[in-house]
Amino acid sequence: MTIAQRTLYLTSFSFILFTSILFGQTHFSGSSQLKYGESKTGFYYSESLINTNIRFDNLTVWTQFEFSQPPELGFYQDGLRKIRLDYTDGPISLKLGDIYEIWGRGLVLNQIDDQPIDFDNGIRGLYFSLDKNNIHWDILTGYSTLWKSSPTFPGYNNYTHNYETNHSVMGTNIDWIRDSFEIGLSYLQSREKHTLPSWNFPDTVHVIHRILGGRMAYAGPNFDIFVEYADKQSNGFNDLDFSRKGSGFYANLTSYLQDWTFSADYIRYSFAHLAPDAFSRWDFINNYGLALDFQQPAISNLLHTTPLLGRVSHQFDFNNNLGYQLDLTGPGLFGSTLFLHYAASSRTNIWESTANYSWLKKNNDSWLPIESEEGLPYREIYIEVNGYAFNDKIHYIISGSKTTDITDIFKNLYSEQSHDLQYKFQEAVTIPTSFSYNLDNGLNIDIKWEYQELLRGTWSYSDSLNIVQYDSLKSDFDSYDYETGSYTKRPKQYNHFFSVGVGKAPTWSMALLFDRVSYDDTFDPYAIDTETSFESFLGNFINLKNTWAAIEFVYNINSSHRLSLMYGSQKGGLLCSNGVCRIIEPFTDGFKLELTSLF
Amino acid sequence: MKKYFAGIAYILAISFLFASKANVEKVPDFKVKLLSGERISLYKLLEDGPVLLDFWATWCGPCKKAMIHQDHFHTTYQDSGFNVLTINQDSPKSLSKVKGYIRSKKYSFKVGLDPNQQISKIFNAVLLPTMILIDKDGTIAWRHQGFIPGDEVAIEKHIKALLTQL
Repeated sequence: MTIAQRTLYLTSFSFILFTSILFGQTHFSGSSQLKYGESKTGFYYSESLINTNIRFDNLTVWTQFEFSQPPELGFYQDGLRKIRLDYTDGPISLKLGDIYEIWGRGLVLNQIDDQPIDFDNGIRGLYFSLDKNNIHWDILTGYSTLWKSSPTFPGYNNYTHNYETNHSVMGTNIDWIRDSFEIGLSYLQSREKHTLPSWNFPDTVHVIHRILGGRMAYAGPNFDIFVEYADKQSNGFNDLDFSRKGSGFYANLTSYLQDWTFSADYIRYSFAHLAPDAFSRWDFINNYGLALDFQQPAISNLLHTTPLLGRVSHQFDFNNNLGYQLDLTGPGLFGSTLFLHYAASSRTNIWESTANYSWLKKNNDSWLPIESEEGLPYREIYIEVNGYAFNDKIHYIISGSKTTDITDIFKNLYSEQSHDLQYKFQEAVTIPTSFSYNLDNGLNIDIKWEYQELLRGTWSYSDSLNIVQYDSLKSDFDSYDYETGSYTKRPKQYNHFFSVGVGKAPTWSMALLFDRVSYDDTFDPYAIDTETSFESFLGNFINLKNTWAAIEFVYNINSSHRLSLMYGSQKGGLLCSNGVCRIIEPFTDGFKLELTSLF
Repeated sequence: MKKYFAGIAYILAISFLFASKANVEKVPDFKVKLLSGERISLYKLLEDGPVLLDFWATWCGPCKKAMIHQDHFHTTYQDSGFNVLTINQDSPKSLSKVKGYIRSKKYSFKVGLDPNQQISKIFNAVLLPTMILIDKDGTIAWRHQGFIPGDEVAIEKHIKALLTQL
């Protein structure tokens, strides 16, 4: 946006705002978030977001301005970020501007603006919808510029995306709703301008994607059912001879029996078949016609938000994933609630590597998750007990999780007499707990402790003439001996997260946070700890080796303004949100400030 | 840099200027699909009496801590026309967990589904949980961001104050 455009936007916005409020014809509300952070490593951000809603009869104008120099994550922005006009007249509604919509469970369309991981798949365009009798009908048209990060494309870093694709989108969706039944049909078409690395010729190709989806839902007193299917076809145009077909299926059954709830989800996404190694599987630049970023469908594992479990989150591949999850929820002992969860998933097929380092698909698509390591299986067992005790004064969550994840495969070479297999293996046993105690004088004490045993490394297996030659794991974890200057391999990393806080409702709360690993991770440069002045001070009382320590303070100035301050260090690494993950840089010896206001 | 600081000053000025004004304006109406499948409008609910809107998600710990109290308010003051309407923000990726959670806790308040956060945008709910207490005439009586155990005392105080005015 040019300076002239920006000035025009701001002037027009201010003019509309002040004149409309002055003459009392409109309703105005909004929120703002001011964020500032600075660390001794030189990393800093300064980000301000302002959301406004202006209502005039049937018309609402939503805007989002951003002033960032730079933001915590993503590109610099200095002006209008999002704008949308919503007009409603009886059964008709019209939206013009930045559109975020969801059809069904997202197999065709699920749009989000997820700022913590800088993922935005919104469309700028026009949206029409009609609600009449039992019919709901939507039409969508617009364009979208999507940004992603790839280490195989020039300009890769952990703060800003380096790869851009452009989409011209149109679609329609129709739902028939009758009592507890719902049937829907969706169609989405996108013309994509797909950029290839500059050393390719041509460096841009054009692909048209067509997704047709159908779904059915029933919500009853004893059970709910939801089924959705999407068929996708991608073809090249403008001299590109290319075609790829794929499909996705999702089903959920939830049944209720007295105090117990049982839920089962099944997914089978087979939008593209790529070789299983990390370079091929996540290469959305040299491969096209893959699952679209507008498709963000349901997943078959839990979304964890505790710090240590969040770091071992399963990275979901929407192109090729097959799995199920089973949940059972019901009453536990002493008035608690018990939650049991089991999830299993894998790729839909197995690939063999060849002597010249390429891959060949070995079997047809499976319908149940593959057990063998060759299918990149993922398993999780999770148990949680939560509830209140002592006249609701204590709230507790005690949980345990075991995850096993084959995250990558390097080699799967078969010959007549031998088999060589090498893959990345991760197994974590995690125990997250949380207790809060409410004192009579309004004070509250909050304690969180999370423990994790993490096994991670490269597993190598070889047999010849059915005799196992080796079958062992080379760990990623090292301990460094300062006296001899040597590294020693450690089989497991033992991690702890501990926080203790005190708060006085409804005004303030403060907490001390400690995030500790036992040994360094050879392959995770974001996990190297440096001692800070704050940790040096705390180190007089407790051992803080390999520990990231921070102090947080939250103050509710009044019911509309909330201030939060953090001082110390935060461990970097994997941050996952909504099944999408991104590597986040550590924050070392600095402070963060955030002011949130509603107006 | 000057423009940047001017922008910040603009935001702060607006937020502090209009923070009090928003409370006297009527909130917009919206229709939301409930867990039961039926659709409900806010204005229809306000015909009975005040409404406490609570924005939450299954992955939000403090939101879940607050819910036992929301349920208590709903059951205690329902006869006076008061309703709690919680607005769930789970995306399709975790939407199948919502009904199971609510049923297992036997919560009786109404749960609306807002997976693409259209309603939270209207009410500027940028943090979870955000609670907004709306008077029968549609004006905002009180609001709060976040939840610290003990906040329920202040929430109940404001609900009682509204109900005595009826």
